[in-house]
Amino acid sequence: MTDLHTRPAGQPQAPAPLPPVPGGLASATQVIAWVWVALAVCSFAASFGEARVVTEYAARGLTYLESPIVRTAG
Amino acid sequence: MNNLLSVVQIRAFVVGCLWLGRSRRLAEALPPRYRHRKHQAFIWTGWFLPIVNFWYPYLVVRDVHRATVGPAARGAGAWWAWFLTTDVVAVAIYVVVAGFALSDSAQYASYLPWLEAALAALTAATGALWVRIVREVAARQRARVAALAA
Repeated sequence: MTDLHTRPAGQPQAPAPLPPVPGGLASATQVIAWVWVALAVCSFAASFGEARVVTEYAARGLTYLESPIVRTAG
Repeated sequence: MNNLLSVVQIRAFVVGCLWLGRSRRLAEALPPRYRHRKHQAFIWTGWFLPIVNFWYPYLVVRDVHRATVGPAARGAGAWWAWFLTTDVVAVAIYVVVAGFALSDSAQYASYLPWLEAALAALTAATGALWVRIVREVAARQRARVAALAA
């Protein structure tokens, strides 16, 4: 409102300044995304190994309660 | 390992949403004007609201991507498709474990290694596509702001 009163007639209003480029956040987003992917892959690789053991247990006729899933959870 | 994964996942979400919010603010200030289809509040809330969380996060990311890179921006759809598929496989693992628990059937157990492998591959692919979008948007932001300043 003040600007409207002080600005000479006919002079264009100065454009609002641009928000800063979130370059730091973009880098942080990428780094943490890669960390998450690496951890997720490691975690699932461990689960894959465990799942193979579960498959062998099941193939030998052992029950869910005897499998590593329950022992790991416990 | 799972606790560490959860902590990193929460931080990835917070940092990612902060970046999306700032990127959207910048995209709204840059010409030409682009009409974002969803309110900026959905940057944070769209992931948790039942039902709409199946597509609102995609719309938010796609609009920031398109508003910054231009109509030729590609990749948000693929990223979201992989993201949803990852969720489906994670649910499938729970179903298979429950099926094994209820029936003690070896057939259920035999699916587990392949589902775990699929989940790892899908997670890696989803993460890589997300990083590609972030890199592309960040590069275009720098280029467009530099062009305006020149």
